[in-house]
Amino acid sequence: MNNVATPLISNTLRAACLERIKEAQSGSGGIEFLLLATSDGYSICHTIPASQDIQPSRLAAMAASFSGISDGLAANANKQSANGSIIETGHGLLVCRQIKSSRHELVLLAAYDKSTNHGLALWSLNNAAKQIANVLEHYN
Amino acid sequence: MTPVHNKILFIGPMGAGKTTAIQTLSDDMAANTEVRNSNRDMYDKATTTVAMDYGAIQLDDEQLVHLYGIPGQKHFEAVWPVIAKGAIGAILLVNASQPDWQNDMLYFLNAFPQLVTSGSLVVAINRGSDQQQLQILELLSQQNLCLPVLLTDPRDRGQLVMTLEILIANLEIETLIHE
Repeated sequence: MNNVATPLISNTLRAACLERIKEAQSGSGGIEFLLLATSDGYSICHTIPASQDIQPSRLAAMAASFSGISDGLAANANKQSANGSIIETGHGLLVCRQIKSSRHELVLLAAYDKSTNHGLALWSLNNAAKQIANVLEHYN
Repeated sequence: MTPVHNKILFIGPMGAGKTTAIQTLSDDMAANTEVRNSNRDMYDKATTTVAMDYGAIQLDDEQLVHLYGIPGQKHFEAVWPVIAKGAIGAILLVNASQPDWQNDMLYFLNAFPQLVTSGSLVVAINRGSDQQQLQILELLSQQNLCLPVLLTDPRDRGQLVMTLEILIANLEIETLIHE
């Protein structure tokens, strides 16, 4: 597995993003974890508990692939580019939201527990994405 | 006659020329999933494929070949089996101007063992020389592998069609042998 750091993301920006996703998770019930990745599949930060058997780097790559496919699917259906995508599972939702600034293209992935419905999930993820977008505007 | 639909995979490291090859080969505009490359230290390329490339070529009246390219960076390894599902063969593209390209080739051979052991794979060397072609044949021989190795420019449709036809001919021979 490739663990090369992403040179375009400074440590300050990484720390600020981590702070925002922690706030987003604590401020909204039902979020199991959040993961922020570059659009080319490198993990920036996440709130995945160490006790869970989940590899953040693997998840970051797959979230980027999923967003890439969503963009391609949207474009080929004459829907321009995708803003986000949803995976429905028997154990809750996985939602991806794309965040773009002049310097960065990121993917925010959220995992929700079984009790969270689509509306609540989209609302909370949009809020988290706005917070990340604000950070991107103010940091490197 | 209804054409036979076959799926062929393009595998190989980032910068090998997979996206270009599928764009060159495809009868219509190929679909891709390229995004900004955030890791220019590793490979100085503006964009990178994150999910897959897709195109299709009508080889003749009887055969439509669907072309799928994998994302070449190793951290996308979990995605490779998803893209590879149902593929009858693969073209392994390597860029001989990249450092460590021979080890890259071995890495991808190990990552797709079923295609290798069934002889369903052709190695295509981009930006390579006759001497490098011989080196690869020797390297494959050391691994007890006998696979076609071709010098192929991913911008050259004629060369790519020939590579594809060699792969398909090889697949037909392997099928006959095992029948």
